[in-house]
Amino acid sequence: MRGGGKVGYRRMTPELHQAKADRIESSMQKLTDSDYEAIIEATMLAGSHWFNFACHRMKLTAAHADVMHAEYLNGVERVELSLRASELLRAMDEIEAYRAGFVRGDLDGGQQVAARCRLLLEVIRRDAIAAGPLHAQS
Amino acid sequence: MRTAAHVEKFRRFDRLRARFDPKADFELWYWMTLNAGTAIINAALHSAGVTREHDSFATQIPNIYSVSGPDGKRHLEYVFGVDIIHVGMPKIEKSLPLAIASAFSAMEIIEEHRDPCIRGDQPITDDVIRACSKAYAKCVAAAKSVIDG
Repeated sequence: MRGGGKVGYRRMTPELHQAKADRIESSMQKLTDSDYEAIIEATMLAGSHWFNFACHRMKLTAAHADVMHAEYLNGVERVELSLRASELLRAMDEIEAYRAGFVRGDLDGGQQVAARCRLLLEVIRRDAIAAGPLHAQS
Repeated sequence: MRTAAHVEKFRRFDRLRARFDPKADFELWYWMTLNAGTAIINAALHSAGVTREHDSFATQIPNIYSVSGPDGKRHLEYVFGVDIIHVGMPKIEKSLPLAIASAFSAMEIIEEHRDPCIRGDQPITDDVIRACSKAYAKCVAAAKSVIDG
């Protein structure tokens, strides 16, 4: 994370991102919403893998140029994603926004936020699986 | 956050960490390790007076914090010299007590595995788990020695 938000030293294919997301979601089965810090972090981590899965499938980023967090996209990428996968982007941003208050902070209401994050991850997974490249018209 | 709140967060993260299998659930086991270590280090930094207790919550952007306004609504502000989000983020200019420097070194060992093993697909080996476990124990012991005085 230090020094920027692009992770560029390995090749993570969409299939590898999906496998990582699946592992994290499997581990989440050990948690209840009262474990809200872990739920928020798990949905952020699994969501990040689905997010990169979608970016690769949309041909927005290459396999060697993952994005660590949605907010680290450059301006053009973010605008394009907001057009092509707006709900996915909003869901990622919403999960990230909860981290300050409920993971790094101690606000009340973590259980409700955990339940919300689980729903957001479902949106992210659904939209990532549906993502694909744009077709060009001749 | 306040020192006591960091200690409570550490306890919660540490308990969560214990719920996960280090191999089968490596990603979340590791992430709880990382968060627990950061929480106890923040408590140690406040205890030693290196950073300040402050009623603000760190965002993922260094020096930008969520603070509560007079109406109770939260907003973002630049705040300096309070909670860290990772070792070295934000950078601490003051010299560190030896025990905290030791905790930082241990956390750096843990952090080395973050991108390769969590963001990437570097194999999760017994050596990686051992290295993280050993560093975590060292980090927690060093930080607690500062907090407990």
